[in-house]
Amino acid sequence: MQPANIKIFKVLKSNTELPIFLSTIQAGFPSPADDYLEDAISLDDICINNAASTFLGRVKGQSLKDICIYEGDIVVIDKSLQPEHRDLVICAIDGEFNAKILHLDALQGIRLLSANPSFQPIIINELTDFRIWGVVTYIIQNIKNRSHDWHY
Amino acid sequence: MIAIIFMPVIIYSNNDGAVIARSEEAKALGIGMAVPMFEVKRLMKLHNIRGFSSNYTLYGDMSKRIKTIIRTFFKNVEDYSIDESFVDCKGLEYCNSFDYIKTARDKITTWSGVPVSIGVAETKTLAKLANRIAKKQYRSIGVYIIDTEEKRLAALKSTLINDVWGIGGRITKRLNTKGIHTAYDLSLIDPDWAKANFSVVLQRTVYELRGNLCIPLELIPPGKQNIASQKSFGIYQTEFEPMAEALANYTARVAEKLRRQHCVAGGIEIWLGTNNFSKTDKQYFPSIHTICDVPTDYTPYLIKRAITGLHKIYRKGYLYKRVGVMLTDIRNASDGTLNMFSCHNRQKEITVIKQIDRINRLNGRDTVRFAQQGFTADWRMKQECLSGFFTTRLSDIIEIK
Repeated sequence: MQPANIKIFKVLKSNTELPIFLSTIQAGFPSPADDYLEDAISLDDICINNAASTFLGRVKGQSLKDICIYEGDIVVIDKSLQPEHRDLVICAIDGEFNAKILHLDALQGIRLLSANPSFQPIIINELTDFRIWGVVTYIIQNIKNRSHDWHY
Repeated sequence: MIAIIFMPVIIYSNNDGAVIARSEEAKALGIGMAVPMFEVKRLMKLHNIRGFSSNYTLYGDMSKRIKTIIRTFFKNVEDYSIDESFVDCKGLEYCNSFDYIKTARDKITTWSGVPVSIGVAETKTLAKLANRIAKKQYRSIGVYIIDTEEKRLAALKSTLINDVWGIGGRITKRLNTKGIHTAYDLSLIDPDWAKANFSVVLQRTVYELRGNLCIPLELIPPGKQNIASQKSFGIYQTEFEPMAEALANYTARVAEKLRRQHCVAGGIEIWLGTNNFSKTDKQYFPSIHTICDVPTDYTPYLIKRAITGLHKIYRKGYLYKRVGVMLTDIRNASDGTLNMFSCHNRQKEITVIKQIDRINRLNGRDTVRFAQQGFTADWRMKQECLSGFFTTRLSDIIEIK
């Protein structure tokens, strides 16, 4: 088995104002790093493609546990994306926002699946009044607080 | 949190007094506009209609999003109000303008989740008319373009004058007595007569209805105007302290807005008001303007200034209905002039206020507040059925099951 290859980046909040020069006026030698400053990486740049159409939601319940999304996780939803087969989508069902896996299949038609065997798939037929509200693009999980659940 | 798609919903005015907005489903159930709340209570219960207090934080954020999206499709945009913008369609005649505008309308609607309609015509007044037709008659398409003389005449003939942009109730009555009922009638009157007997505003409307452009697009760079906040109290105030508390809170709001725009204010104006609709109350509408030592965005300083001003204009013995604050002489934070005799430590202020903004952004407004803002808040607007701040407060984001 291949070992996981993880690169480490330093991240900063995106609204942090970056200094144009690292060093203020000083008597000594100016910082040699001044000429090499770059913008710090922003989490917004990673998670948000279209800020005006992006909304956040908080997961409640266990319907997505098989794809490792748990209660309390924050989902990043982009309403500007066209939903595709196997996307995790948000839809309004009976006055509630639900996260479901959109399954498009020539034989089985349109189905909304949960990632938990105790939830039945929802079959969409022509009569169902159904609209996809947005597509989930990123999940924010607090891993540190959850590590005691792991069997390691 | 509930997803209220396809449900009858109404929105209450400030202080939850009357109905100010209705979803199509609620209109269909017979809920009128501007009807006092006690009159609709029964209908609401009968049809399970949901009601919410005005949530300007949410509406403001949604408005900002929509205007951002509009700017991705149109170059010259005038933000006319919280829910209306005018855009310049120049250049679109070289492509299929209907397709372009329809795509823009659909994307604005799906990206934001707010249904919008677009009306296109030669002038702003006709564009408003076209928009009304798009909204009323072509709801699912959401776009209506007046691009022929026949369409213009049909639109004018099917619109009553009180639905024309800028024509109020009083002018409507006066025009009706002269036999002018539809927008078409209005477009036929002599513009000079309109100016002589009514106003230059009506004259312009007549020209605009004929397709002659009189009201150009106003492209003011955003964020350079004065920033003001004024709200009515939930109940009349007579004492100094609660009003000072209200004023401190409004000042904190405008200061936050100022910092979001990366600006500083050189002056601050405050005013008080009694209920000008009352025939029996003693009336008093004082105001005062003061100059800051140094142009600033530092909330504690601005609050101190505001309260000093309030001390000067407050008189006992009136039933106050509102207090307001306005920041003036707004300029970029970078070109604020310093005062040689000022002892403010600007760098320290910036650090403090940035941290406070950060904490409040993450944990909700006024998690950290200034003592003068207080906690009693009985001056606050009545908003008993407020929906969540879904897009601006992490604790309020929608629940996903």
